[in-house]
Amino acid sequence: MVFLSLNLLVRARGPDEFWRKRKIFKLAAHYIGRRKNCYSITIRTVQRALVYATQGRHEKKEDIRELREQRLEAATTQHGINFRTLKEGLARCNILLNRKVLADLSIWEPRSFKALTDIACTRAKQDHLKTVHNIEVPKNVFVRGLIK
Amino acid sequence: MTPIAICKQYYPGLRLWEIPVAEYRTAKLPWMKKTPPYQTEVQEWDEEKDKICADVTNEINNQIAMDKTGRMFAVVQVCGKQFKVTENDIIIIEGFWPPNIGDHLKLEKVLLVGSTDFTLVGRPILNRELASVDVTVIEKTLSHTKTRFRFRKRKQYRRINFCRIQHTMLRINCININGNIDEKKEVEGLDRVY
Amino acid sequence: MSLARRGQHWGTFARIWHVYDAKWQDPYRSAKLLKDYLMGLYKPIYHPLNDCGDHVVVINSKEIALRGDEWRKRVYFHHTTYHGGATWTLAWELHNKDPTLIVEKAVYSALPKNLQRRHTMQRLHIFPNNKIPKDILENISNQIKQLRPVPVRLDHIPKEEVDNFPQLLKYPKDYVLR
Repeated sequence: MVFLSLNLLVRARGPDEFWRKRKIFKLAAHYIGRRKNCYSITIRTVQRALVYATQGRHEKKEDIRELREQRLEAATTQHGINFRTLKEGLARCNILLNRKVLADLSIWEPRSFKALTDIACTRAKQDHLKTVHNIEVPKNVFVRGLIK
Repeated sequence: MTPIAICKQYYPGLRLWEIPVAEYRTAKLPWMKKTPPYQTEVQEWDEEKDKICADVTNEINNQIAMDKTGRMFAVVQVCGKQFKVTENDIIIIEGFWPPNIGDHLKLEKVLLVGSTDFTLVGRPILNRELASVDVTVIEKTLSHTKTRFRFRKRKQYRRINFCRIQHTMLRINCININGNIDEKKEVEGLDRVY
Repeated sequence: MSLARRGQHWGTFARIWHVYDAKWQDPYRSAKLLKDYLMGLYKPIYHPLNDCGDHVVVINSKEIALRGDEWRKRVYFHHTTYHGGATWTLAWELHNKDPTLIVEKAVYSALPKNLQRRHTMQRLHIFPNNKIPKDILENISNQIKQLRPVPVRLDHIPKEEVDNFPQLLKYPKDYVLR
């Protein structure tokens, strides 16, 4: 290789140090103390934060699901059954509402939700599920034969 | 001498010709529940119930025909996700979805329609001629940048990717219930001949 | 927001006051029940960050019932942080000193261990007998169902009724009852 001028001999080491570090410092703008000012500490903290952000996107989904189940458990106990009976009863009736919609209905449309629990309870009673052994069939559900 | 007598003499404990067999108890004590005959017809449907059902259906049909239902809500399934929507809502569809801005769509996977006085529950979806939701695509954008950063300590492994997923905003124009809820047309799908 | 809607919103997030009769109830099993009311876990709008817990007034905490021989075997530990400052108090001793303390400790241990716990405990009011101060009594609007029915004691049934109860068998006159 022939270098006509000397400065081409120096190997380029990627982007300039200042700009490379500035990208990281921008992410750490709201940190406190040396975490914000010292690069070696900043890079550690920023990387940890990014890993947490990536993991958190998956954990958020689990947490939301847990919260919805908690809410549905509360909503169904008001009507005398539990969440598993509701889910099982609705699935057997071929009513495929998911947890998100059921939780929304229990808060915003309590009367529609009551109707859904009644349907699930009746179906569970017809199929002789153990969980509804001691519960009366809701009288406001009219069924011609079996719910099928 | 008869053979029975001989056997009785020699094996007084073994009576093979009179093996006792457990049987059903036929005599019932007065407080016991009577066994029903094998086939009975349980009468669980009477005229009273029939009348209540007819009244309720008529009332709902009337409300729909007179347009007195008030503001309705519906649960629709779009792109594998269920949304509870009412009129003038905006919902966001995540991921690739072909419709373009300004398209008028008719969502037909309606799982549930409700109003102040009644709720129609689909098993799993309502008849597509009965209930539908009209929507307009109002915006197609990208989400904020999500950083995917993978890092293993002491292993010199770090990968960073950035991704933005497509967002499609849908405006719910109206929720329709067409015709009576208890009628089922003989021929369906005449309106969609491609 | 219309006035009715505003009232509904206000009512949804208002704190409700519940009363719970602890007579003959196991405090440790009741604590699991009371926890739901204190934290608002029984409401469909529950969220760990929205402050939807309710007040619970526990009455008759003097007449709680511990299971088995727990009065003699359950020990409450306390340390004053000085040398030799550890004390172990038996349940019956603690109950004699303060009849509300066993219920309080049971609920405190049933709650999740976080910063909110002490604030949640502020909403628990325990009284050793059924005398509730008037300012608390006028708030109460709901009663929590007891875990088990309170059994009637034989010496509380009037004597006439006991005597008139049909006898299954009569002992012979010369039978010695021990």
